[in-house]
Amino acid sequence: MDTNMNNIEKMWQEQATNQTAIEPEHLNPRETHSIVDAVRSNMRMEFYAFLVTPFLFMVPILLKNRSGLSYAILVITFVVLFLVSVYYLTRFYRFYQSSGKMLFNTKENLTWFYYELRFNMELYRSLVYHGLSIGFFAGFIWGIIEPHITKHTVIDQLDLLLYGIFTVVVLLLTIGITQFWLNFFYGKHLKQVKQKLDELNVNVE
Amino acid sequence: MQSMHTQQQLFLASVNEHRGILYRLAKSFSPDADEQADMVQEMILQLWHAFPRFEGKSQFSTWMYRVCINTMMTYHRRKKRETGQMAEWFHWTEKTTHQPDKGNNSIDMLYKALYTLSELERAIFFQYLEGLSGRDIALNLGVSEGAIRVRINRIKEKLKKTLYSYGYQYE
Repeated sequence: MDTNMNNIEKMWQEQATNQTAIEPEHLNPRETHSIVDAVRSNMRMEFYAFLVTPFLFMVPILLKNRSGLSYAILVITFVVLFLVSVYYLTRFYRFYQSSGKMLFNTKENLTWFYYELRFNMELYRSLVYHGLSIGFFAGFIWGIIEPHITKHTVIDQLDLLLYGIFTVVVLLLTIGITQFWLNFFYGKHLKQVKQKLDELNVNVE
Repeated sequence: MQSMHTQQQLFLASVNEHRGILYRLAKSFSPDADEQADMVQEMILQLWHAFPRFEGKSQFSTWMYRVCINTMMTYHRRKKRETGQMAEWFHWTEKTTHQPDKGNNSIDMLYKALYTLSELERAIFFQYLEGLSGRDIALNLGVSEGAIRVRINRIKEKLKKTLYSYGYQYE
């Protein structure tokens, strides 16, 4: 194909370009910033509230009137929970720090924030549900198995049915509270960020 | 004094009239659709922030070119800082190993050739293709008109070789 500079200039001027109209939404990064600021404010509050959590996991270890086997299981269980919650808090803190250094005037940055927030919410759910499972496991050993071994009588009156009912109630309550907590602090803002992303989704060729 | 709403309406009407500049400029600077969208967004914001200072002494499109070109140059400098050496290396690899796809039309070939230029060269040649005068290009980039003329000739030579390597004959 032969071409010369005039052809190139002509070709350039005649090219079909994207004609997506610029809308008022493209001019409102401040609104986006206020959403991000609201999320960060909630994160800051939650971070301080959760700072004590890893240490709460260590408390049962101080109760030493257990048999050697169950005490060892408890120590391992709660050390694992402690480490997992420290990991979660560290990651959460890093996300908080990174989001403070960013300008949310591009789709790329806002997309990053959206997926990080979603990831941290899932990580939080994962932490709670795993913690709960591990907690039930430890409670089962402590309350049901150990009394039979040591003839200890703290909760050996509890039978499996009662323990089962208690488990279901606590499980449902925890799931409900976790969902409410996440929706209350982040759910609404997550939807707003998604909406902003959809508005910024300018189709380019 | 215009109300905020009136100012916004006026701005959107003016920008929309020349919005092709935004999309062509973004496409000249990146082959990636997501990055182009980010660039367009950034240019719109910079134009909107600078709009109160637009006095109407020049044509809106001339002013728009100036703001957009400067935004793109700043965008690239910031991107380079953020992504660092590794991304640059990938970009370089992509550029040097890139082969034009069969069946692409001429305009795509031209864009591909543009990506082989430096950011400054791209900014110059983009304005040349848009039909801006040497004086306006020089003003927008803060260099002399003579230097722009020399640069344009060099860029043409470079593009000639690149397009030739893609299978085009450039006379």
